[in-house]
Amino acid sequence: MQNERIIEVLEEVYREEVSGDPEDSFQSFLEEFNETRDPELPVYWISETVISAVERLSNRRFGWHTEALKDEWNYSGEFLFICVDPTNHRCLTARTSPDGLCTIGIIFPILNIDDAVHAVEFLLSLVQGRGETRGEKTDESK
Amino acid sequence: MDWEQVAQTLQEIATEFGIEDLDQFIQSAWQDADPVSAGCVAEVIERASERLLDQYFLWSHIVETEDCEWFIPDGWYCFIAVHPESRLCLTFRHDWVGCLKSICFRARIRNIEDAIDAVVRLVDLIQSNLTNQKEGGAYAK
Repeated sequence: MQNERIIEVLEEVYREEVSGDPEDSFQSFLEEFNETRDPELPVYWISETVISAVERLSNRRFGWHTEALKDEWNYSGEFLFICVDPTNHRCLTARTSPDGLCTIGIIFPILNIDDAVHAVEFLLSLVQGRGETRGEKTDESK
Repeated sequence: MDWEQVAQTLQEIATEFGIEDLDQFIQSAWQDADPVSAGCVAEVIERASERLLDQYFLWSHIVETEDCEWFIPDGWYCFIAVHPESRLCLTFRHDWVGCLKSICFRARIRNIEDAIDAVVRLVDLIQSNLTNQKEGGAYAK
């Protein structure tokens, strides 16, 4: 899928389902978060937008858990995603790393629109059964 | 699940973790706003559930916090368990009309009684999902 289409959907779902403001922009929100890391910002809007984009592009609903990860004092800009297929209860984000460690979540840094596109592409590949394996981290620290 | 058996298992795990007074430890994790201790409480709950079911699972837990700024634990925890071989989510729940309710088991754990109650309910949920998985039926309501 072309990046332009993913960005278009990210902006659509952000305006329609997440922020509710037709004048708002996901890209601007990401820039503000990245510049300030203000804990008062609704940081979960970022992962909710990614999830809504995946569901809209796949035309399906899934069970999700997401967590905005923190460093010592602030949100790090990394998000954990756990995705379960409600039809067969399979955890789609469960995987075994090359060194044999099993994990159930995938962590993406999402600090700009390119990061968000990558997260959507990757999660879309999982829910569509294509299982891309580039660039993600597993939640092995959990 | 028998409360006394759960209490005993929790105490065994706590001893292995080097925790002398589990009730005090759980209360401190919440009252002293200690995220490290709260993480240990979550791990004790997970290990106790595994021991009672005599199986290992893949886990993710979330120590919930009362605000976004200081990340102070508020005594609420979320657990997600996945079967290591089938990759099926064992904390998955449907609502009464059969729609997905949650993939997490959520519990307030602020003292030993809360911990016992959480383990009882978590083990029941996992056991129910394991049974239904074997029978090919619907997951826990």
